Amino acid sequence: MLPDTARELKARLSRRLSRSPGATASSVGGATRWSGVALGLAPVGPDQVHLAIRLIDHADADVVLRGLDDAAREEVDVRVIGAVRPLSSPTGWSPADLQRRVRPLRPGISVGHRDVTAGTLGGFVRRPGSDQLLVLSNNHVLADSDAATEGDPALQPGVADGGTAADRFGALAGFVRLDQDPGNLVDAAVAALDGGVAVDPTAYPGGPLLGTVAAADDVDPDELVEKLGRTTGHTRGRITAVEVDGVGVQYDDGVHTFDDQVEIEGLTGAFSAGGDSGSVIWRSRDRAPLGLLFAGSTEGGSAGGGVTFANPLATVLHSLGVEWLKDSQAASPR
Amino acid sequence: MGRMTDRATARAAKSALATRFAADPGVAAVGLARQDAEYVVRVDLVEAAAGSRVPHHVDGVRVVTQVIGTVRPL
Repeated sequence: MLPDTARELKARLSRRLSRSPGATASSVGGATRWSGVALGLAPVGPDQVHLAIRLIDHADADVVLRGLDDAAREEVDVRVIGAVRPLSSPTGWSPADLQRRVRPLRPGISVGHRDVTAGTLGGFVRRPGSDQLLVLSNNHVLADSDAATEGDPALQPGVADGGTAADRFGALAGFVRLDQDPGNLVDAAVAALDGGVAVDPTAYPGGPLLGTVAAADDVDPDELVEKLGRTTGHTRGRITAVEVDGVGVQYDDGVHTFDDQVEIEGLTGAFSAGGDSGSVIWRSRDRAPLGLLFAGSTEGGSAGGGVTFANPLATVLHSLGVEWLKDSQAASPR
Repeated sequence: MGRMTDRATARAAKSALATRFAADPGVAAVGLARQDAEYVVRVDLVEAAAGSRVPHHVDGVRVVTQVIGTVRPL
């Protein structure tokens, strides 16, 4: 039917429904006879539309269609869509949520050494043959850029988010030292969990990540990626460069240079910011974890939000002598 | 029309350029990017002025630049 005809029909039906007990044209909840209906126009061709009728419950179709003549019934698009709810971010992945004290421990939350502001818990790993779960983040988050000693407490949240000695969840269990000479490959550390600390290793936006880490040479430019970090939460980006050498990073004690890094830009602004270090980055198309976020700039990138640098996760795991949790291990952590 | 540059070819050019700029404080990083369906060498600059020292091609591989400023741990 013509759009104006459909509008008249929609208005007439809407008036009839609004006169029904407890009913309105857009929401018909609460009435004894109705569970809900929404009306609109559905384009079907050039200057041709159908009257769109969306129902919460199939049982309402008879009542709604009863007021239409046979010709009109031929040109309606009736669908049962169930209850409509407001869309919002899943709880727990906003920066405010990620900066709180959180138990069980899960990816994306604030962590840090007592002498560091705060970084991000990237994920959970274990040493081959061991049942002991380890928390993965950066050296400069958990080991204070080489200044820490194995056994130092690991806090959640980090100090910048109010973490104190009472928020200890484990202890520094290993890290790769930052070399003053060129050729660093990773900024990585792990913390072992204290007894009785609960964890939820699979709690990433959209569900668990793949149990297999992307090989370093299987990471390509233009792939779309995501991360969950303490400061900017869940963000999406694009790999802009791979095998990036000579990345000079300005640490407090001087410049450390990294080779074979992955460069990423945000799709709609910054992919990361200070405090997101330690986030695990995964590939959107198959959810394969591929990088450990550790550094970035405030300039550059197509959207002007700066660029982010990540260590290839496969290199991180190899350097630390640990392995990513397989799906089955992540589902039943000890 | 010439052949599209593949990753291995671009990698060799990148290594040569990374060595050349290893001690240049105006260059932040050198990596592999993709433009127009082929691999190119991407040079990240600390400051735009350093771009004048970067060639447009190395061993037949296209070189592109962008200014990213200083890189810091996050």
